[in-house]
Amino acid sequence: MRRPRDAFALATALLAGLWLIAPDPPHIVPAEASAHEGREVHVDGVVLAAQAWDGGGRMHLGHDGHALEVRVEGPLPELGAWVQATGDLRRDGDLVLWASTWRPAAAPDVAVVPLATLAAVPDEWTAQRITTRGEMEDTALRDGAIRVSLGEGPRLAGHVQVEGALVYEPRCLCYVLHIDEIRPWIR
Amino acid sequence: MDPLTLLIAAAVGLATGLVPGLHVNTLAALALATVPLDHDAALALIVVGTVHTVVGILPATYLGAPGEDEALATLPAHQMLQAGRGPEAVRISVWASTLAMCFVVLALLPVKWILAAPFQGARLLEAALPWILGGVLALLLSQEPRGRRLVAAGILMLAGWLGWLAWHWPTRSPWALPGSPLLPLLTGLFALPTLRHAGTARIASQAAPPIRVPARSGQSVMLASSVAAGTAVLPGLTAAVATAIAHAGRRAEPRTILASLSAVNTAHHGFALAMLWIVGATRSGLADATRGVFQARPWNGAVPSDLHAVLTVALLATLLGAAGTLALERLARGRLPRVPARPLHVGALILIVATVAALTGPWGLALLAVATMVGELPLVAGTRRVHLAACLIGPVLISRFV
Repeated sequence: MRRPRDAFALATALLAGLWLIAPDPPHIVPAEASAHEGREVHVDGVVLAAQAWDGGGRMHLGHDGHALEVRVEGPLPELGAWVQATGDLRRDGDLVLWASTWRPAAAPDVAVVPLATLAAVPDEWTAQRITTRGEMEDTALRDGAIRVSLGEGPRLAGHVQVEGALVYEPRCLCYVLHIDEIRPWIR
Repeated sequence: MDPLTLLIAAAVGLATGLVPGLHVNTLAALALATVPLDHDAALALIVVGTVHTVVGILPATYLGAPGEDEALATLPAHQMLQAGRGPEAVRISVWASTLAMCFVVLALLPVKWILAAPFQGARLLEAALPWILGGVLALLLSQEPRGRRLVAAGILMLAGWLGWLAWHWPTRSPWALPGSPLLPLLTGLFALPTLRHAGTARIASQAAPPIRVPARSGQSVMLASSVAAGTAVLPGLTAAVATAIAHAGRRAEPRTILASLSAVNTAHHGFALAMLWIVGATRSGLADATRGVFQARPWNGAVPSDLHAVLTVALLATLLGAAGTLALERLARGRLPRVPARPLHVGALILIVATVAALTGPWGLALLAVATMVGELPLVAGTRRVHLAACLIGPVLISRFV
């Protein structure tokens, strides 16, 4: 390989080959993040918290009781939404996903949890997507004597089934339910 | 930390630093997985990592087999070895590393004021980073003779493309060892072509004249250490990127370039340890591994006691690493020129490929093969090899713009 032209052609062909065989980044959930540090991954989860600033922001994606901080450039998704973020897992103190992109994704089916069950041990239901039912009031969802304050998301009068995320809100020392999807529910 | 632990940790660092390709972050991850870290163990790990950083110049010089952070330093160091000046290369590197660690200690307060409160320069630096990196690439090209600029631009683009691919490359050790795609990338670009072109001639007989520090090297070391302060504060920038930035624009003689690169590597390591207290975040695998045992309260007023302890052992470790490196260099200088070249180069090559395979698996080997081919280009085309540094600068640049 003495001629520069041949060397360039071979190097370009090899690089193209490497590019073609490059596998798609693995799909993971927040609990698996530490095993993929330093790599590009797709992370699926529910948006538990979001903080926007000029040109970007950060959010926390949760699933199955684990959460992961995600830094995003551009707009942030709605609280309670199920999204897939893609980027590099690198440390900035804690492990952070530096997302190059995110998109809404199909949420996994989850069983309906009665409000009474949520109210008994709310901590166990944070950092994951939940489905629950109740009667929509102005600022809360009620099921009998149990009420949960509503955060962001769509509203619909009457009996409803909602999907979203339960998040502890320090400002009111209470838990709020951010709604991603809502539909009428007939008892 | 008692003196015996300090000496044992330094000896471990000397041993691990001689293994080409074994990175400090790999050591830290292995230590975390095997030893429960308390305060003394964390300090010992910092000693191991610091000595490892200093001694890495030995395999880079005598075998042409660097780790990630020494990859660029291999170019001037190996060049000096071939001219029979290997001992001088090692001594200059050790001198620069020691000076750089002293700089880290002495410049700590000004760096804290500039990067954190009150000036908050880290944010400004982060905003300016793409322009700085773009400028570095433009400078590299402008230094090539007109007739070769097109070829150099092609090498720069191919190296950048390869770096971008490597950034997303799914390396995985067959034994679940922590490895980074930077290892196959940089050893492929810099080490293997060097070994291949080293030929069958034995290492030249090595002279060890009294160290002659080139004029203005002191300023170069200070400048390089300042670059390291900037790169250490920004997430995602490794010591290898810092050396790539420091390498740009340097058409000085090999000794001055080597001094700068060794200084920036050591200073990046030192400042990355201190960033936990300066900006409240870790900026290296070693700092991250040890953060759990240190109290990283906001730094207002006097230097925090844990930071004081960390920098004291880092400085002591640099001095021990310097002494150990010089002692080992004497051994290498006497024995390696007597070893036939082919077994020496083949041995170094096998060691590199085995380390890459162990730490990054088959995907890492594929990356190593392609990186080696790209690393051959400057040698075939007759341009400077520093354009290959685009493999580190390009991906950072692209990630900031795209």
